[in-house]
Amino acid sequence: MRVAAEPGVGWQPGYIVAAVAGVGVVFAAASAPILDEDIWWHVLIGQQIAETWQFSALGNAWAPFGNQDWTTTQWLSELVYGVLHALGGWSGVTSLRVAIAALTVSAIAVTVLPRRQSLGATLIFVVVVAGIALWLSRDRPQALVLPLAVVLARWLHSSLRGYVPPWWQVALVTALWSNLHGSWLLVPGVFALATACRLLDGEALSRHLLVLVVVSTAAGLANPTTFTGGLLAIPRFATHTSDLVEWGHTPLLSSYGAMLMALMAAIVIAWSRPGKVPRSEILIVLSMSAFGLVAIRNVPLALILLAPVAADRVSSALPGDRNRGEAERAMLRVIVAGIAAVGLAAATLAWSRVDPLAGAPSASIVRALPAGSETRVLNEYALGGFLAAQGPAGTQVVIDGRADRYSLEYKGEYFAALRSLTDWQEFVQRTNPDVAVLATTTPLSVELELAGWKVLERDSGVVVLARPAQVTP
Amino acid sequence: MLLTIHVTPRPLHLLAVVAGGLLLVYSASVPIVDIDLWWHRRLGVEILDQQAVSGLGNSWAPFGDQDWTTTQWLAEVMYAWLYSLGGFSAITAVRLVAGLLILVFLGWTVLRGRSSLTAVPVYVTAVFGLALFIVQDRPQTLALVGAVVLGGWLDHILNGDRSIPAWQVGLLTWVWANLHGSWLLVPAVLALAALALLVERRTPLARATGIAAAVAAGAGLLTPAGLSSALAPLRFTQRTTFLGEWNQVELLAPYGIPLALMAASAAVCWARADTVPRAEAVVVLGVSVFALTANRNIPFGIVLLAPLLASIAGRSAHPQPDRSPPGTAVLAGSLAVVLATAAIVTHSRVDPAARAEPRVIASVLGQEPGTVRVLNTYEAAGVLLEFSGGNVELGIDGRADRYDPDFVARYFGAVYRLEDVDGVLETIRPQAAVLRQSEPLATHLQSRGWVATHVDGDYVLMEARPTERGAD
Repeated sequence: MRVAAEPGVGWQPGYIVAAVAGVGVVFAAASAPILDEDIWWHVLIGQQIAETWQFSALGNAWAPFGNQDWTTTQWLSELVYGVLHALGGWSGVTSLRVAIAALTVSAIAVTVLPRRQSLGATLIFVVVVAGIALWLSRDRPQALVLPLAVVLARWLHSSLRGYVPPWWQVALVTALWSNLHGSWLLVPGVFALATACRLLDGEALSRHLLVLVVVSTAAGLANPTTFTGGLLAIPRFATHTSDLVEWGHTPLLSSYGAMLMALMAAIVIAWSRPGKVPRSEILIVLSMSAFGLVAIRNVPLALILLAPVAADRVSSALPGDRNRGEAERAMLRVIVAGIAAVGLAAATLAWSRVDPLAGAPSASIVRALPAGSETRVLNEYALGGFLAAQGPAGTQVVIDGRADRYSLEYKGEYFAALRSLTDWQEFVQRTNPDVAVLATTTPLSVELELAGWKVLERDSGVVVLARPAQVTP
Repeated sequence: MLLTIHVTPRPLHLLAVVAGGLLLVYSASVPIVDIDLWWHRRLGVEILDQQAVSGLGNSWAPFGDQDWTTTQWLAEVMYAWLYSLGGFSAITAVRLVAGLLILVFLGWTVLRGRSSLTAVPVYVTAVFGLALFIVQDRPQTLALVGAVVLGGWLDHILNGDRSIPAWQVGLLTWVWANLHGSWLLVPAVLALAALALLVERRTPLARATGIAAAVAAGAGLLTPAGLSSALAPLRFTQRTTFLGEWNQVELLAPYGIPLALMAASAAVCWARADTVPRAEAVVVLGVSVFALTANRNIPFGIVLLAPLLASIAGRSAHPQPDRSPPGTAVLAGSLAVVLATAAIVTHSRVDPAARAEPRVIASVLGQEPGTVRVLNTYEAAGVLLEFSGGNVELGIDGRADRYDPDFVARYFGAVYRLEDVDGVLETIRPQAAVLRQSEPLATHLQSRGWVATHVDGDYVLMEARPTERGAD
């Protein structure tokens, strides 16, 4: 990290807090087992891509219902997960999470901390890394693009100050992003926002920025799945995800939204200090706040994109740092480096000792499933991927976590049946399951038991039920 | 309070008149939609009969705290009295009057003495934000009138640099505390203002405001419910996780958008201002956080923020002086008269019980010989009580704080997740169930042999199967 030489700017004790927070988040990511309910099928899809090099009609073997021509929008992430699983099992998958967490936190530190008032910058750093900690502990394609989001945040920030990144860098990052995750549309969106910001501040229309909008859009389309259904899948998410919590609006006072709320509050308080705030900054803060509030899953991206602007604003509202001598700064460097080194070593140790399956549904659930040729499971939505990946060979689920793969009608009938709101018998008859794996709090589990299905296992809030005919040896 | 209109009508004020007037007409066109009014009225009758505010409503609600104390006795007595005068139409007429007062007081605190260019958008946004709330016949709507006054005071203290006489604060809080449990807002908001003034070192005003907060706290306790009224929020927080109106606000959901617009406008105005008073920032942030904690806090947040936002916007925008073309006042007055007349006419043509569901099922239960014990959907309680003529014993009614938190959790767990259905049936021992057809328990009971005898809109009436039939 380059240390600025300006008086009063540079290494400060506040960085010790930042170092502790940063390594704490990495440590938390390393010590968590697999918690994401979708990683199971991402790995399976990745393995199938590695075998067939096809991006459509995936995962039909375990999911007989839904669109059989479904196209993935994150093939590269899935391929990486599939390869890591082949190399190191589920610990191989979680190793990527630790690396991404360390990379993202470091990138945010480099973006937010230098050349700013240390207390303000540290505050923003801590809020942002705490706000994305939840996502860094998950194994999901979205987490893989968070380091790229930090790069985008730096570009947005620098674009407003006259520095426009080279087009080839933008093209490379967007192309990588679009192959990792469908959220790549943020890149042209952010450059369009930067263009509007400069106009709002009274500057001439920036052709460079407009070129970047075009370049990033073109680069994002440079994706093997673009013209085989991947592009069309993106708008489908908007209509197919109404039942999913992470696509719901962000409640500001929830654990998801608290840090976004804190960041917005810090900015607004800093705005209330004397001096006018540029219109461009207001536009960025309002648009990114709205983006974060639209859906819970947007929160980490919004936090990262707001971070440099927030760090600038909060730093400027606070008195300047005290000058420190070279010896004192050297000592601080050593302390921070020591914390980082010890923290990363501890994180690596924690990762090596944690059982990646400790957070997964109990093994007894899988053991209770009948082994044999094909077992069709009427499953809880969140358990679909897990059962497909960890269940006996030939396990088929009636739904998995690929929300855009299933028609709205099918999902409506599925969720209605689980809540036993309508004629659930018709849905059960149609999907013809051999067993049901449901949460004990799902009303259908009670109905099935009442209808004569036999309980094979009940563990950790999940119940396995066998269809009456299945009970007979 | 002497209401003196100091607003010289400007062309933009016509927009405010139209927005307020249309809201009033809309309010007049809506039948009773509040699920709790029905038992509020019956409690009022009991209060008048028994001259007591505790141990009420036990005849229809055999479960829960039999010594429960109401925190809104005055509103309930008023509803009972109005009903005796003119039926439910008299109650909805009071809603109109309360709405009118809210709109006029809000106009007075937001528009008076300010440029119409900045104040009218604030007023119109606030009116839209209140639309969903002031059409409800509930004690909280009456309390909103007080909240508008409190919002005006807040602006008066922070931007007018003048304290509010303690007797006015005491009087408002005392009336408010007898109408609704939200009276705690008065001491809380004044204490926040006092704290904020201390941050700015405006010590004399902070002291006066702090004294006003203390007076409010004392006056609020001068109700028959006494300390119980002050502790009501604590009781509610443990029992209302199942109720949407107590959920946190989603800023981009329809309820939250006007509040989001107001908070964002304040932030933008601060960003463009040369200086921002710290006290104002503290109060606006504090009130915004309060409003975000629950959907039912939104209208309070809106009316408390509106006058402050009008001041903030007025300072930052440096608008040109208003010009008033001749005839504007006449036009504004004519518009107000036309819209008020339209509201009155609309009100007279609306059946106040048109949306009372499940009224038909309630009538069926009312014809049964003897009281029927019912396992009911929470929201149906009031209608079942009212339109059965009190011929029911309910598993639960809308008084969330009357029930033990465990009972509420078990009851909702059985209705929505089929958890411990046997245990809940054993506790309630119902003879019938009135549930929404979309609720899991409705399907479940039918699969257990309960017989659906009547369907009324979303609701279904089921008779218990003989082996599970409760208190006959």
